[in-house]
Amino acid sequence: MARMKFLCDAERCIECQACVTACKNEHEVPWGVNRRRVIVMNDGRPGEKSVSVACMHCTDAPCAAVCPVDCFYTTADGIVLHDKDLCIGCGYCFYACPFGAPQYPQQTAFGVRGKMDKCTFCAGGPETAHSQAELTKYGTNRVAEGKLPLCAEMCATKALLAGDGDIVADIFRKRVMRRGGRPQTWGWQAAYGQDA
Amino acid sequence: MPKKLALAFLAAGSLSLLVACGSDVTIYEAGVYKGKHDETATEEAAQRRSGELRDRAQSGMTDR
Repeated sequence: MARMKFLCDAERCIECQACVTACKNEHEVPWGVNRRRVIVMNDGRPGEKSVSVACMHCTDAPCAAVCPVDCFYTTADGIVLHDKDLCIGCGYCFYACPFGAPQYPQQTAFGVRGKMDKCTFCAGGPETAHSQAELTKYGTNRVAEGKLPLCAEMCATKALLAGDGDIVADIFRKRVMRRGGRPQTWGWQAAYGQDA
Repeated sequence: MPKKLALAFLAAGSLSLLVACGSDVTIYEAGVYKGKHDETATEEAAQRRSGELRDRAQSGMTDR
């Protein structure tokens, strides 16, 4: 069985923010919520790199582990989704997530947190596929139509890859082979200097 | 005598309270999803779409 994964090639990402815009537009994400963000490292300095980050649909998702109302579930192909009808907006998942994926819409002028919102891998939620309820709560369901997440499908430089983890890994492996080495965006040398 | 009667009432009350905690109470298992069933999350649904998604990834994600 395939396991759906995202991978962002930092050597290719040009920080155009098109993935962020595509996601917001496709799912009509409310103001103040970003399901996907582009993180820039060494901004404005030589060696600047950027990566597009959203929910990574973890195999052993920490958000699901800490949820007090158990509103998370994982589809058979590894997409981590949640039920907004159960979510109480406690924010535990935000603290547990290493990627800062869970987002909360501000509901009142006093900053009360709404139900958690996060990337769904364009797979909707537990409502009937393509229903108005699904569209309102979770956004469009492209996966049910046999399509991959829009952010990755419209990435101009093909930096953001999405799909079956085996295919994504194979594409990235071929790129690394062609480049003649792995990117040094992170790793020992990036963390501890060239002598490490 | 009134003390014994009060104790008897207390015991009877406690027993009736314990009986109230019987089969009608739903005890949820921790860590198990409690929400609505998602038909697209099943093994069959994933199997159905896997071929299409695989083809899409091969044609859309690979370098041209």
